[in-house]
Amino acid sequence: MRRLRAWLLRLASLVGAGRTDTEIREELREHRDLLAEHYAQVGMSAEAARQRAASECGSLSSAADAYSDRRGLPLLESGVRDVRMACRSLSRTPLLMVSIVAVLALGIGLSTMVVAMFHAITWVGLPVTNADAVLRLDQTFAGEYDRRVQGEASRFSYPELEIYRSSTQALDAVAGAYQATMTWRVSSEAVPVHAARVTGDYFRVLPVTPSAGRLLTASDARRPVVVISHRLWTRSFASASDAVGRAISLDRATYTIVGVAPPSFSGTEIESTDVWLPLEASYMMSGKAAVLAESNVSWLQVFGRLRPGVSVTSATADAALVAARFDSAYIGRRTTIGLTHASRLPSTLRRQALAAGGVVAFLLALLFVICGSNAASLLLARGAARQREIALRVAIGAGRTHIVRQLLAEVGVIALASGALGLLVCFAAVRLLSTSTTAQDLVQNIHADGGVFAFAFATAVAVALVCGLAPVRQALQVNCLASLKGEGSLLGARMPALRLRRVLIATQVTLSIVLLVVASLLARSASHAWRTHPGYATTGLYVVEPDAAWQPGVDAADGSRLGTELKEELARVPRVRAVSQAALAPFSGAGISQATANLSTPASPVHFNAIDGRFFETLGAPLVAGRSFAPREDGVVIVNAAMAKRFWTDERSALGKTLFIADRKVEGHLRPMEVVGVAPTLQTMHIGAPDQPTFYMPLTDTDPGMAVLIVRAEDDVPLQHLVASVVRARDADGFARVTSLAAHLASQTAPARVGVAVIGVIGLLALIVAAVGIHGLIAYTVANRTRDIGVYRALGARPRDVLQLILSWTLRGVAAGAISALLLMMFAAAAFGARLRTTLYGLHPLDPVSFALGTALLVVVIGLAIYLPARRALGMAPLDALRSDG
Amino acid sequence: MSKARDNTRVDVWQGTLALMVLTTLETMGPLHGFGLARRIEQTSGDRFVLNPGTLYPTLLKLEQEGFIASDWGTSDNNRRARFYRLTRAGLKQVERETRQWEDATSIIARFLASRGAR
Repeated sequence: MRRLRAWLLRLASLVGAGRTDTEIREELREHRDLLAEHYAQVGMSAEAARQRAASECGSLSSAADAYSDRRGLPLLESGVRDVRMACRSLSRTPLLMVSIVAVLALGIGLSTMVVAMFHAITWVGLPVTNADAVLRLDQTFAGEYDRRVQGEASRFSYPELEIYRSSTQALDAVAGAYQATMTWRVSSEAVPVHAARVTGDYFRVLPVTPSAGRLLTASDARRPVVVISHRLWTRSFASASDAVGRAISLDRATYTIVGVAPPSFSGTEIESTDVWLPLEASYMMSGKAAVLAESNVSWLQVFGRLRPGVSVTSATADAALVAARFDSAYIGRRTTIGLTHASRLPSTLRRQALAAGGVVAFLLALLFVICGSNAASLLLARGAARQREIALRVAIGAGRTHIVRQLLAEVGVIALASGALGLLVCFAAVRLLSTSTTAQDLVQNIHADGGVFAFAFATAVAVALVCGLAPVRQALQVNCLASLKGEGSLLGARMPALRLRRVLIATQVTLSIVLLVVASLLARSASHAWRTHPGYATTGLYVVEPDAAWQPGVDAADGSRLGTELKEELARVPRVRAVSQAALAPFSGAGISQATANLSTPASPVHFNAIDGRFFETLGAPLVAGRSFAPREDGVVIVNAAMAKRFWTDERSALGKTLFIADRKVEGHLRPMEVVGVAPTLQTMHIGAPDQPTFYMPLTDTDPGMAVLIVRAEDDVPLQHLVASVVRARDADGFARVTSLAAHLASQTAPARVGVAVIGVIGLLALIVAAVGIHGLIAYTVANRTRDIGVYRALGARPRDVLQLILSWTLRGVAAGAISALLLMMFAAAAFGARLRTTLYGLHPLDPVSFALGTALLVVVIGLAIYLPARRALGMAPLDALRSDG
Repeated sequence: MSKARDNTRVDVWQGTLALMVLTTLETMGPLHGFGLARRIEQTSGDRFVLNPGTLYPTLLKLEQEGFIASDWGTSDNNRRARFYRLTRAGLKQVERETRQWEDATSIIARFLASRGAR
């Protein structure tokens, strides 16, 4: 307690509280005078007494110093002094410092942002109360099965969801959600909104506090009500307090707003959800309630809330029992159920995101080491230039600790300054990203996470600090006499830091090349992925989905007939080249069925789609062999080339053969179909990945669900308008959604493009950093050796010789770096080659183009970095160079 | 007088100076720095040399710890001087430290006695 009090008083005196220096001196002077008086009293002459007192008191100022040391906190005071001095000395080489700080700040800022971003997406649970208890349910099927898939195969059907909800004891609540775009009619405009159709327990599984009104409950299943997102509320309703209670029209049905979700909750997907509505009610209102009864279809995402005290493992075992019950109804199918903590990514994507995050983190780590070694070598160069200064200070009595403290203060100032600037860079980058619509959803969860920021930031600053220590080590080896004489820079004299500098250059070059090569490799592979031709031109291709509530109450056959009529009307429009009808549009999912070419071998799972005769013509992907379907034809199929190759030997041999496919109406029965055509293997599931073996069967009037129209039109056809007018002619309120396939694909590949952009930026930064670093280093070396160069030139050296000399200082490091980079990449390719190849979309890890590109870029930059300072050295008159201080 | 300044005099032992200051203030009442130094030197039989560089930091430390307090005042010969006095906490501290010293010296005394008895 006493100690604390004393310490606080000392601290207070730092800011001027308590006794001042003058008071201390006055008191000490008083003491001396009294002592002198005392001696005078005992008989000394006044002069002798004064001398005696003065000698006994010793130096007044040293006593005052001891006094004031006690008064304040000397360590802190000298720390402040060190920092002040550091700032002064750093400001003497502003350009160098700005480049070091800028380089470090970029590194710190971007890595902090990426760490926070990946943390927010993959690690953080959903922003709901007790998020740890929220699990995502996934199922995977094996063996023989036939199932319709909308989205991902791991999803559930409504009857399955109901059984899991009622039978699993380990879960308190189970809810399903179907995410889809709905059309919101605002006056005459149709606005697409991200809708989540959810079951009654949704907000029990994901409990949040509404910003206004209430959330959906189980009793809303049959009510046309909707909860809107906070974002929609602020943007489209101007945060109006009376928004609750208003009616909005979604897909032609009217819903009443009952509540507003909190700003923190934007659904369970990466894409923010705008509206939540009861699943059952929305399907009943669109007359498609039959979908809810289908049990063998994957379409609902399922979430559950873990009962308190139950482990995930036992909940999984519990759910597996239910899965086993389903399997007994579908002979030959084996279902595995998986329960994982829910984040914004489904577990499959999460693994991919983590892998991608790993790559980005690795690249950032590389960039960071480059930044660090860069800062280190720049500081080292600066340190070399300051050897005389340091030697002078040692000579006039500065202790080793004092010098180290001083240098540490400089490094600390640099680290902290770049850290602070780095945070600004980070916030700026987040702000920049949130203005772009594609990346908006990625960054919107970042701001909340202070802990991650602090962690990433502290790590970054620590690394910067460690990197700054190299010059301190060097400073300790300073040779006082030699440095003072300036011998350190004479030709042939030993330069202790030269080797360390060379190692740093080599490291930097190695890492920069690795980084650049990896970056260009990834960029090339990604652009490869999204530029791969899916087998047909996507521009000018549109998908027309007739209004989900096309005609409330009509059955599927009528819906299909209306679709056919729309098709015929659109086909008559000039400049619409082709119109086709299909059960599934490209990139919207696939049906999974069983098929075999031979009744003696068991059927295996294949994809299928139902199409009309003009499907391939509309896509612009002509059949490889055979013919397309005639109207109202049945009992025939078209197979894709992948299937022809798997079941028969090649495309031609499949024609006229019989394909046995699982009969959708009779369980376990295989229906023979004649192969009349062979289609090319297209990409209609995932961009960049050729389709699985797929068969196409004729689209009949009795197919359940709604078929979509695929339209190929010339670019300037106002298709949206045309479709709207055709639809309205039939029904004043009707409308249809028109999506451009190219735009749809662009939005699908947006995350990949953001990723490549990030990697590209990292690569670019590495290049800039390497350039700044090597330029700075060489400029410094040249500046320090100006006198050498002068001597050299005076002795008759030609510019070429001088250039050679300068190159010899650095080129060895650069060459060593390039060679070790090559070795490193070869090692990585040998170790992970097989695994890398699949992620690189078929590119070889040692792809010569990437390697050449990365190295060439660096060589050009390094060349410039060497050339500019060298030119300066050469341009100098020998006499000036000799006179120079360096 | 010059004889007094011979090498029989020792420098004050840091840790003990605080107790000397506190006891002196207890018996003498408020004193200025010089008076305090003279008094301590006298009490020690002129065997201590008390440098201002030793005394004043100690005074400051005691003041920071709250055992003594100080104010500017006027000395006997009408000079401005800073006077130190014991605080209530200082009084308690004197008692506590005295007890500790007595304990310590009695223990040491026993060791010395056992040495003498051999």
